[in-house]
Amino acid sequence: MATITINGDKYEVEAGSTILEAALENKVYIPNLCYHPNVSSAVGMKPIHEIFRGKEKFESGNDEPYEGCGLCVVEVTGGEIVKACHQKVENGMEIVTETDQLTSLRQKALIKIFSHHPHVCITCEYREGCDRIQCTFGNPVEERCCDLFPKCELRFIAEYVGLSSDTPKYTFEDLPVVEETLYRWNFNLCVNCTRCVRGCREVREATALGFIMQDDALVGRTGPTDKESGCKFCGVCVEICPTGVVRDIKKPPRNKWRDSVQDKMLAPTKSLFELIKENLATVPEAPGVYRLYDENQELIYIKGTPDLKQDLMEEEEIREEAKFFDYEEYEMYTMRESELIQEYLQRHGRMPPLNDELDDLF
Amino acid sequence: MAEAIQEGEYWRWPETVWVDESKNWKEAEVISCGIDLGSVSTQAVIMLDGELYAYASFRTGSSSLDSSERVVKAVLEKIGDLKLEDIHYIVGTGYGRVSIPFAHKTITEIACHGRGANFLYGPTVRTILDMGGQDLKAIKVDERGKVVNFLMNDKCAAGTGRGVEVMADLLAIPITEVGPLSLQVEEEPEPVSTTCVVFAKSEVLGLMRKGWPKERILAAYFRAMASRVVELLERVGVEEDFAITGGIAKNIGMVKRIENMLGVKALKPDFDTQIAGAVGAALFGRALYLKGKKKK
Repeated sequence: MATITINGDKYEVEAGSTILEAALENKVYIPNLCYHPNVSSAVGMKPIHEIFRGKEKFESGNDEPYEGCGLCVVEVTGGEIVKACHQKVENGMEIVTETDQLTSLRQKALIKIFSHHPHVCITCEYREGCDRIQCTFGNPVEERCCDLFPKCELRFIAEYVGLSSDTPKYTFEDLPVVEETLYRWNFNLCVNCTRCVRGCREVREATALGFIMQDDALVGRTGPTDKESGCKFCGVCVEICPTGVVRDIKKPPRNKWRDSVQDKMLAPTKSLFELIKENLATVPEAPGVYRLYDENQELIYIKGTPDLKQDLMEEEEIREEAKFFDYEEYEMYTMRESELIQEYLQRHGRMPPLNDELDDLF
Repeated sequence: MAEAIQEGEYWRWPETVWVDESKNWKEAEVISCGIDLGSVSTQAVIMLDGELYAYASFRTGSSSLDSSERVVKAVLEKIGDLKLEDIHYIVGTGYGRVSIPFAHKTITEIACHGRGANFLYGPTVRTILDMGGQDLKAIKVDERGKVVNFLMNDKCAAGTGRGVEVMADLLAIPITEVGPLSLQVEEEPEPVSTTCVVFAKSEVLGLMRKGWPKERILAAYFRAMASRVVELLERVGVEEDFAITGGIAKNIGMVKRIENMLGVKALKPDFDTQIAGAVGAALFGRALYLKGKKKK
């Protein structure tokens, strides 16, 4: 075991684990994208000579290793900035995960990613309560986010870090879209994080996927068709991709490799307050929507109200299971409530548990 | 209560007040009321022991408060001797639901639409398309009418009732007639390129100038609206039975086109499709009263 400090709090962690693993294990979130718990760190991975995106062949420009997405940067003892997915913990290490400098570095990393990935919905003020079929602002379909938007890992990272105003507009690049036996590959959505490459190699021990180095990493397949690339059709790439590049065409068959792919801890969307009287003093007597969370900070209730303070005071009295809350002021709170419930439903496939309290009225 | 159409008010649809004279509220154990205060229309429904008794459907005015009072007053007047105090439980729903001061409780319109459609169309309904005045909702429910999924767009009025009203006005055709008229085309024209109410309006003006007959213009607009709606439905997945609620369900031109594109028939209603939300609210009201929940 090793003792480390993260943001001033002491933790006993497994010696030999990375900073990122140790932090996530203790529910401290550090933004990260190319990291995935099922596979090794991306940092230092060597490219291969050629890859295919459909029939199109791409050759490596150099042999430089991939350096990772650059989002998980943290500051360690002595002010050095390291990649948390790569740096192992050391006894007595002091780690800081949030500083202005780190935010700025993460925003720069996001600029690189979003220059080649649609993101207009992520920054849209209307993103909740929109079906993304009809765009109020007339953005073309190719520039909008895909239908995985409610669960999109990239989106939660962007919301957590905050996009810099220097983030360029995405322009559709018309990259290959390949539909074969079981999967559809839409390379327009690829952020070249190499997670699928490592998933293919390490989880399934196959070599169907790889990446080359040009100006940056470019992910593709090792052959012009799925069969020629040596694909074993396990579907690990579908599970491990942080965006919507590779998707099932048919209902996927279950298998142990695919089932072994774990869920990642997503960026928390808001900072929560503990549901105690002292914290309610600052809540305005204004219309808005509040959300209640249980002891594990899992969302349990979404409610719109003309008076946030009064309602939250009542909740504090009567709801034992609610331990945390957050709120936003919103004039049209009934509409906002529906929007947030829709978001929740799409992400979790069910209603928040306490919003189901009408259950005995049927 | 249908009024003669005044010039320049082609968008105005008939307001209704209805009561089932064969029932007597004095014999009912539980009188419950549901009020659905929407962006464009407001409905009040009164139920006796969970049976439909009376309803009114009006246009929402500029004040939500006045609209809710007006609609309840109208339905009570039609019944005659029933007083607001005689009603055991009132549930408000819709976007304006909190502006109903006499409601004992408010419930989201999504839950109410699910419950109401289950009552009106029967327990086999699984997918409900609610086409409201200013938004669209695709709702999936279980056999009790409990919501299991929904998808809506409240950001854009394209494909909603307001769009139909604008077209009716532009073409000077009463809103009740646009649906049947749009079916009087030999061949479906190409849809208009956008369902955005603002842009479609200028596109339609262009078609009028070109000399397109009105039915053809309507067909082109409704086709575009229908394909937008079908896309929404396909995203949640249509499971039968399928039903359409809200004002546009009365527009045969829209219903037929949605059915054709989906390849699925919608259940035929034998009542006003705009009252589904208020019916659900009234049913919840009855259950809440029976449960003896404390009034809010």
